[in-house]
Amino acid sequence: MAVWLASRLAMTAATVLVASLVVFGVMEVLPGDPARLMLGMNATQDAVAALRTQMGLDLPLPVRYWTWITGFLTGDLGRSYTYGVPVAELVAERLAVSLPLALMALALSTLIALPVGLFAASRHGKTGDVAMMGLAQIGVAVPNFWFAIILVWLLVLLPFQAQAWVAQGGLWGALATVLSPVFAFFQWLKLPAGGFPGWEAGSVAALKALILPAIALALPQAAILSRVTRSALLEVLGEDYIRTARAKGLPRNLVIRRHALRNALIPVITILGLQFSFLIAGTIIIENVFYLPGLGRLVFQAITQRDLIVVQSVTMLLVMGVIVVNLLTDVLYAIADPRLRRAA
Amino acid sequence: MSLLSIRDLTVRFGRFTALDGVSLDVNAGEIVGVVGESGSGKTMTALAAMGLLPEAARAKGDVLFDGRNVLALGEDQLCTLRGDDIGMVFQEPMTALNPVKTIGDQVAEGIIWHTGMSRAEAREKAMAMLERVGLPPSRFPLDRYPHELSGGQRQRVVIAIAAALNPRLLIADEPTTALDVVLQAQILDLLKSLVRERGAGLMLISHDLGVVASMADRIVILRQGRVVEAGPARQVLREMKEPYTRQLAEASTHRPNRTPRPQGKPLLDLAHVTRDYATPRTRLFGRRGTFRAVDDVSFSMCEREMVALVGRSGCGKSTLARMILALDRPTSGSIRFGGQDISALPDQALRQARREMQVVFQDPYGSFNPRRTVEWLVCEPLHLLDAHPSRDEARGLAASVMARVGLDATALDRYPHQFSGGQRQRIAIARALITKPKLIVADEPVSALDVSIRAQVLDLFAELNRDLGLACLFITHDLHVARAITDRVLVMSEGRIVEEGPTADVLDNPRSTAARELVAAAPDLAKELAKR
Repeated sequence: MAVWLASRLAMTAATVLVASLVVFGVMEVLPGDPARLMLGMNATQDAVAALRTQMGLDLPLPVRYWTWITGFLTGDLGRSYTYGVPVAELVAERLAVSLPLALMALALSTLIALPVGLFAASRHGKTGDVAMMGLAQIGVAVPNFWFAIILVWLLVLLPFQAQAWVAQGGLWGALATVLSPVFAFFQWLKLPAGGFPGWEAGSVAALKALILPAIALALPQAAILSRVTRSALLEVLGEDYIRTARAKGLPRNLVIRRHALRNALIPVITILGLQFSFLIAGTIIIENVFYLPGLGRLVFQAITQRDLIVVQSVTMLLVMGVIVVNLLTDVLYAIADPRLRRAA
Repeated sequence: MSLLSIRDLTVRFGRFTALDGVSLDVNAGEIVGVVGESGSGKTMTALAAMGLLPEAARAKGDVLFDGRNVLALGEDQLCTLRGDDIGMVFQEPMTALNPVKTIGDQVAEGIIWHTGMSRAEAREKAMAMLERVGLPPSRFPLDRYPHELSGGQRQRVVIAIAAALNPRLLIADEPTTALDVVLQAQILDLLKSLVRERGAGLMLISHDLGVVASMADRIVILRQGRVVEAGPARQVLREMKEPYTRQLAEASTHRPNRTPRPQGKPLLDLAHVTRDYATPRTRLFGRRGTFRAVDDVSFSMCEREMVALVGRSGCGKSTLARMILALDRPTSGSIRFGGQDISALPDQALRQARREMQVVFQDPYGSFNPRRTVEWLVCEPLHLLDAHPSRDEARGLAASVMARVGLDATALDRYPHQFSGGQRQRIAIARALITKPKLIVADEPVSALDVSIRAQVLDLFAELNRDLGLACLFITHDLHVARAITDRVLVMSEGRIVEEGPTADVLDNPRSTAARELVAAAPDLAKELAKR
């Protein structure tokens, strides 16, 4: 196991190095001179040149790479061209929103997907299975920002509208009256339709602001994950060792819990690891829909404003995040499956 | 009253009838052999006795275990029966154990479930059981995982699970089919002594009359879901009242009619061939070890010669075959085929050699791309020809090799899944023949086939040798196959060739330990019949 872990860590370090070269290289070939952008179109050639020297942009490529990467690794991510503050500060502030959001979404999607997949697999071919997988099909097909809009409408806007319907009477009024406890509950929750009060407003308020975005992010992921869980379980349930377990006299649900689930986890972990990168991409959209000051919005704004140092550092951070998640996935594999614990 | 009494059992899947009025009995302390070819309903009978029939199955009749009708019991009652009163051993030890659980947990699990013992007590009992099946805890601790054990050892674990609670009935469904003959003899011995010492009943299911003949007190012969013949083993084997029984016995001892041909020029010559594999590092900066799969092997074959390479599983036969086929290169030594040293040639220069030697594998199910027509599959080796034939020419060639193996040209437009195992193996041989090879390397070509089909395929090989002058290297652990069709045998053990000579001489008077072990372990129906 130690040999295996050491070889995995070495491979991870190598991947990070190659990734950093690619990120740096791509930023180099992108058009647009940051010094010119900062000073505007009317600045003199001399002023631009002076700024370039000040920013170190006229140094040779390897030197600039070295300065950037050593700075990056020691926590100095440079200074944003547009905000004029250290990038590290900006990122830390934004991560406080994005990281909880991504983790909540990941946890939610797993919490929804595993039971749904288990339920569908144990009722293979029956109504419950068909219904769940039908829902999952919709979940896969519908984009997360659309879910976001529906969620806001359902939980925030509709309760207010319902009050008007109750007052009007008629068919809609009757329906709204029947559902009024639900709407009252939604109103009592007081979920904001967007924006973020900051963690200093209290963790309850902050979490409330994140819950709708997290659900919107989680639902499509949960849909995919539940399908994977179901098919992995069904495949495992056809294996010979399941028959061995049944021949021992274990009842069916115990066989699923003790013998099928852990074997089925391996493809589920794979998808979970891959989904992390999709979650990050998803936050860029969802943060814009919900007007959250997260990392996604930071990158989006930095790209439109050609704040290349921010883009470069945040990209590198995200790349490292994905690589670390992949490493974690590999470790989880080895925990789930003893056959993978041998040295690569 | 018998322990297990199956009466008029009919099992249907939709309109397909898997079992048709099957009746059989297993008494306490008795070994009943159930023999049949694939599709005869052997496994369905076993699953019915366990109450484990697939959900789609519709069963009629009675399956009485100790007077209780298994077919009428609820799932809860069945769960108390399975594993406690009835234990089951399966065919495929490589997949019968859960890969993510230790062997100790897997043996202890059933004990805990049925007896409510504490984990520690159950592990104690599991340890004793593993010791009993030949896996002493000093060498095989409870925290081993299945992948750390060999096939034979895994089958012992499966037996330990099945026998842990002293079941009154043990059902073994082809328990040794996936194992080599030496392991087969050991596992059969173990099963026999387990049921004898405990007075339990054993239902031993096999396609091999030879295996059953040496074990069973009574024999039941199944064919297409019906009982063809049943009775005391001695009587069934001696009288062979039913023609089908006789047919089975003849097929499993079948020898194609062939006379050794005068040998031609030297064709294949191996000199000091060795193949090492690196083993995984055990410490971070430790050195990789090496495992010598093939160790200083030298032998030669002539044109038109039929040679058997026999040995236990893991002895290096398949590694050697891969090197002869130039699919792998030796670490040292040379392999000359038709005068060329193919172990030294670059891949591009191997076309001629690849054309002149072809391969037939064991598994006729796994060796075809299921999405291609038989024509495409059979014609695939034609790219090795220097002159590429046109589509029509290729089809003509394919039709002629198909005729050669006894299949119609209309088969060319169908897909592999539309054929039976025996037919697929014929297609595999047709594919090997299309480039007019001089040598065919056949890796266990008949061990996945039913005995009657096996006899036909052996006949086909004999015919090809006679009519086309084809040389064959048969890799097998089955001495019947070696005896039936080859002139010379090479016995391999731990990477080395330990004995070599005319097949009949070596098999009748084996000199090396490895050969003696193989001969002693091989189930021999002829001998068994003579004994009775």
